Order: sequence, then C-alpha cells, then structure tokens
Amino acid sequence: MRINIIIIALCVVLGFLATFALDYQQRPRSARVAENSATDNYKSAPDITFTAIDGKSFKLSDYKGKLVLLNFWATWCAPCKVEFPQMLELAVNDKDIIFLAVSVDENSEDIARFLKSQKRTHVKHADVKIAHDPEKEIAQDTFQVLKYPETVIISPSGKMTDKVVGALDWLSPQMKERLEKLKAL
Amino acid sequence: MILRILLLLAFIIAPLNTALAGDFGSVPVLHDGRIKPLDSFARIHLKMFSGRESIEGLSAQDWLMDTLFNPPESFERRVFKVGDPDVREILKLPKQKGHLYSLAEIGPPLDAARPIIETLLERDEKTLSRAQEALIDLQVHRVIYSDIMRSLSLIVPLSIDPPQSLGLPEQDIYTALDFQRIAKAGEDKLKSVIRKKGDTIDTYTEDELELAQFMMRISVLRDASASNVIFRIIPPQWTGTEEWLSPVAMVNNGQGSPQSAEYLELWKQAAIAYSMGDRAALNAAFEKIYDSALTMLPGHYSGAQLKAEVLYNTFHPYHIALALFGLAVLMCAFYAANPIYLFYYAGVAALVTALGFSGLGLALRMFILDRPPVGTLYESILFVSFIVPLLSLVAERIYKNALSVFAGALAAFILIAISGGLAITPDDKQVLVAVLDTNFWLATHVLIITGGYGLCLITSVGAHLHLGLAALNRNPKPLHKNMTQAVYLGALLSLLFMSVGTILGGVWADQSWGRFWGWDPKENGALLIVLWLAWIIHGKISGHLKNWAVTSLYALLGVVVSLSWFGVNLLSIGLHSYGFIDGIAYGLLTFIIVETLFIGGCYALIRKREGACA
Repeated sequence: MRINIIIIALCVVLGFLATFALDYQQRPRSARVAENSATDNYKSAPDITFTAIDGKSFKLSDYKGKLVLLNFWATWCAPCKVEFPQMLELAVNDKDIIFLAVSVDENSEDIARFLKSQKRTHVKHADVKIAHDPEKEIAQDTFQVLKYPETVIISPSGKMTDKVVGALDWLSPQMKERLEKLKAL
Repeated sequence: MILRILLLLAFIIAPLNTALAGDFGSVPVLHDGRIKPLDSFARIHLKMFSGRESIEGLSAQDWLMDTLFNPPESFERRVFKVGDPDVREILKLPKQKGHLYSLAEIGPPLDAARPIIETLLERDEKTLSRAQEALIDLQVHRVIYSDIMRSLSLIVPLSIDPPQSLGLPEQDIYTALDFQRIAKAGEDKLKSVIRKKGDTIDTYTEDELELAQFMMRISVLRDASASNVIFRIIPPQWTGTEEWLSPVAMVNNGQGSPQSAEYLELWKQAAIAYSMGDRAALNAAFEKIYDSALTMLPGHYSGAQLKAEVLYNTFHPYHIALALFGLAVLMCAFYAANPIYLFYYAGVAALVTALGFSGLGLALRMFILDRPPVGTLYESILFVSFIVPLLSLVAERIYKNALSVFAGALAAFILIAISGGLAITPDDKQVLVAVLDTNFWLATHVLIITGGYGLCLITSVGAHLHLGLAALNRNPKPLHKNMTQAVYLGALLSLLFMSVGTILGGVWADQSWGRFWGWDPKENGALLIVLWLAWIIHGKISGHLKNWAVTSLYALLGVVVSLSWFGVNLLSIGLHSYGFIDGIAYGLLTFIIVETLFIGGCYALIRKREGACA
C-alpha cells in the first residue's frame, strides 16, 4: 500500500514538474524571438554592383559603415518624384547617410531631365548616388520590387533593417528618429 | 531522443508516399493560422472538394502540384463532389460517376445560379435547408479551387509571346513576372497608339494589334490573380511583420526581398521542370525550395515538425489503432465463446499494439502542435481513446479475465470511430483559440477533465458488461465480486478526477474570465457528472441504492458524460464556444435511447430473475 502511495505521489510530482517545464519552455521562447527580431533577424543585403548614370560601376559594400537609403524609383512615378528631394536633403545634410537611388526608367535621358530639376549641388554630392537599372535586374530580380517607390534601408553593418513601401515624409521627426536608431546597428 | 526516433521513422516512411513529389509535401505554408506542410494543405483541400484524399490515381500532393503548375488540366479535372441531389437538380448537372464534376462543368451553372446563391447568403444560416447549405458550400469551394489554381500565376510558364517591339530579351519560356519588366513600356506604347488612332482596332497595324492583344492578356492575367491570398508560402520577409504571403500578395504589397526573390525563382524552376516533365529537376528544385524555406521559418518552428506532420498524414496511426482495437474486441469475444489462451493473448497483444499506435499519434500531435494534445473536442476524444485502454490494461493486470481488455478496446474503438465526425474543421490540427493557448492549464485542467471522462467511460463500459453478463445469467460469484469492486474503484477515481478538474477549471475561469463559476453549460455539464457520481456513491454507502440499481446508474454514467462532453456543445451558448458542434443531436438522442433501453432491459431482466429465485 505504501509503495502504491509513493508511486502515485511521484507521478503527481512528475506531472507538475513536466507541466511547469512545458510552461517555462514556452515563455522565454517568445521573449527570445522578440529580442532576436530587434538585432539578429535582419538579413544581410546582397553586395550588388550598380551602374551609375555616368556609366561607372560601384558596389553596395563601398558604403559599409554608413546608413544607405536604397531607393527604387522612376521618373514616371509621381510619388517617387515627391520624396526624391527629401531624400537628397537627408543625405546632403547627414554625413552618415547615403542616398542610393536606383532608377528603372528605360531611357537615361528621362533621368537626366529629372535630375536637372533638382538642386545641382545636391545631385552631385558625394553621398548621393544615382544608378540606372533599365532591365530591372536589381529592382525586380534581386529585390523583387515591382511597384514604385520602394526603399530598403541598409544599416552601417550591411543589414537590411526596414522596407518602406510607397512615398514617405523622410524629413519628419519620427523618420529622423528611426534613422538615428538604425545608424547604431 | 523521441525527436530522433520520429525523424528516423519519417525518413523511412515519408519517401513511400512522396516518391513522386520529393520534398514538395514538406514545404511549409501558412493556412488557417497554422504553419503546415503542403501535404496537409493538399489533403485538407482535396478532401474538402471531393471528400477523398486521392483522385484519378493522383495522391493529394500530386493533385496539388498539378493544380498549381498545370491549371488548364485542373480546370477539366473532376474534383467537386456534388452529393446532394437537389443541388444537382438546381445546377442541372448530368449523372456522373461518384457525383464528381470539374470546374468547367460546375462553373457556368453556378454563375447562372448566382442570384439564388446571393439571396441565400443574405439569409440566417439556421433557416437554410441542407441543399441550400450544400449549394453555398459548392460556390465557396469553387472560389477556393480557382484561387489555388491561380496561386502561382506569376511564375508558371505561359504560352504567350511578347511583341518584339517591347524589347524583352528572347527566352524559351516566359512568365507573368517576366512580363512585368515590360508592362510600363507596353502601357506607354499602347496609350500612344490609342492617342493616335483611337480604340477602333480596324485601323491598327499588325504590330499594334499584337501589342493591344498582348497587353489585354497580361491585364486579364493580373486581374484574375490580384486577390489571390490562399497560398501563403512566403514567410515574413521584414522585421515587424509576421504575415506570411502568397506570391501575388507579396508583390502587390511590396513585401519582396532578395531572399523571397530567390525563393520564387526556385518555384519558377520547379514550374518549368514540371511543364517539361523533368522529374529529376523537379525533385531537385523542391529539395532547394524546402531548404530555402527552412532558413526563413520563424525561430520557434522547425523542419522536423513539418516532416513529423507528413509522417502523421502518411502513416495514419489512428487508422491502424482503430483496426487493432477492433481486433482486440474480436479476440476477446472469441475467448469468451471459446476460452483458448491463444485468443486471450492475441487480444492483449492487439490492445497493447493499438495503444502503442494511439500513443504514437498523441506524441506526434504534441510534437507538431507544440502543446498538450487536448485543445479541441476532437483531440479530447483521441486522448480519452488512449486513456481508456491504458486503464483497462491496469485492470486486466489485476483481474486477468479478458473483460477489461474487451471493455477498454471496445470503448477506444467506438471513440476513434466517432472522432472523425466530430472534427469540426477540415484540418484536425487546429490552432487554439486565445483562451486555450496556455500549456499550463491545458496540461492540468483539460488533461484531468479528459482523463476523468476516460475513467467515467471505462466505469460505464465495465458496468454495461456486468449488467449484460448478469442479464445473460453468466455472472458467477467471483466474477460478480471482481466486477463490482472494479466498477466501484473506477467510480471513485472518476469522482476524484472530475472534482479536481472542475475546481481547476474554476480557477482557470477566474483567471481568464474574472469569475470562478458562471453556470456556463460546460461548467454545468462537469458539475452534473460530479453530482451524478456523488449521488450513486453516497446512495451505495448509505444503503439507499441497492446492488443492481447502483450498477445500472454506473452504466448510465456514459449517457451523463456524453451529455456533458458533447451535448452541451449543441446549445451553442456560453463561453466554451471553441467546442460548438452541429449535426450530432440525432446521434446523441439515439445513443441515449439505446442506452436507456439496454440498461433498463438488463435491470428488469435481472430483477425478474432475482425475484423468481427469491
């Protein structure tokens, strides 16, 4: 009889231990995922080679250590043209930000015409890079961007942290605050 | 260790079923709020449409693959079961073997019946006849099937050639995604043609006509799949979103990433391999797709769970357990008729093996769902079908008379047999509603209550056997003593489990809903069992209830449990909404009538015999 009671008591204790173990295992896991998503879950950006509108090539890794705003745009896209000057402004006024604008226009003349409407000093600034991707090899094939504008923010360590779909007020305090945070990643 | 064994089993068994499809069946998809392998997705939908898990010699996986990669053939494949004669009459469908029809066959009549369907959709569900419900279901199935067919419309090879004037580099195969590159240029060119010549196509040159036709075709393609969201195969690509997306939704919502681009490219390779009939390339593509998907899975989910689910689907442990429980019942019946020990040992062996398969089923479900296996009504039945024979084995060890094995196997057989009908959704591995999503309470209250149901059932089945044998006058004194003792012990344990479980339920209700007791139907049901048992046991101890009355009331415990377990769910009220079911009222009523007649009949017979003896 005593043995039976011990066995039953042992089963109850083991049951409780298993239950708490299950519960414990579940809780920290969600906390861990949340923590990871803030740092480790960002994927590294592929080191693509771009062709600038002047025909020269450059690589994404050339800008490691800076926050890159990789913007996909076209001159026929009205919202793209609205946010373009704001992004220029950001890059020109913040030495830690690079504005890398990839145009999917078919004709480079359309790009040149549009750029003429922008501040020349801004367009020529060292932290502003305008690339041309008429075959959409970077936009569509690599980043799967099919609608414009879309912007991928790449941290100084080369991680793709955010994707912005559509036009945005890039000079808003919230956006600036976000960009400041991303500079640390 | 368990995981290793499961994976080893998966490795051995899974290829038997997925030889044609390679890793296709294990690729993850988010469906009905749960990450599951495509094998489950395929089975759920094929069963939903046709009521079966294979069609025209194709396994569910092969059917899904063909539907995704070969839409024209899928349009003609007979997959829709129209079982209701009234629906066939409304849609004027000709007689067909198995009442199976293709999308091509049901599409036009369903379009014609659209006004009727729209009127029905506006009505209260409760006022609909069975045929009207079936008609609505058929329309819903048609929409889902069409969605599945168009899921990969971006990447399946198309038999459309783009006009050379748009400058798309020449390729052997084009997809809708390729045409996206030239969509803007095409639009601009067509607009310029329309500006010059208007929309009267007679004045168009051959090239302009070709351009107009091409643009119209890609526009139709885009519109047809614009709202396609069912095939969510792409895990979240960006931090801050947990939403899985279909290829079309991903592109439309701008959620693509370098990783998703590579992933879709692999799907495109698979689609091309399928269209070329190149099985080796297809399997290689799916191997890569599966590996790539694993790298994108959320942290808490693993490929082993996907493989385990494919194994569960392939293996059907409960089908095997059902057959073995049936065999155990037969062997025990043979042993009762002809006491040869071979029958006895065969019965015990069948029960033990069945229990092993039932336990394996539970273990796999726990591993797949990452929670205790008692979250739904269906699961509670499976759990009880494991507990009951386990208890019967313990009883058999004590009494060694084959009756316990018979009772346990019979109860488990009936439970597994009815479980399929009580799985409310096509996916029997449902996601839990929020209130149930806690391993602690599932592992305490729900396990104890369902364990209590199991004890009640074995007690009730034991009492049935006791009554039946006594009614047949095959109740010698030692057996009578043993059975009285066993049933009494079962009742005491049932009372303990049901009381503790009910109190724990109150504590959980207090935490979740802010009150210990709310006279909810489910709570009342649990209390009913406790009161029923307390009444019999007190009546027996105090001497108010005599021998056979006590046994009869124990036997009726099955009715009380069925009312509490299933019956209260028919009311569709109360906070335990996750257990609601329809369509079992007649079954339950029949069960109660049969039980009352059987128990009442046995009791009357025994009393009559005892009266005659006295």
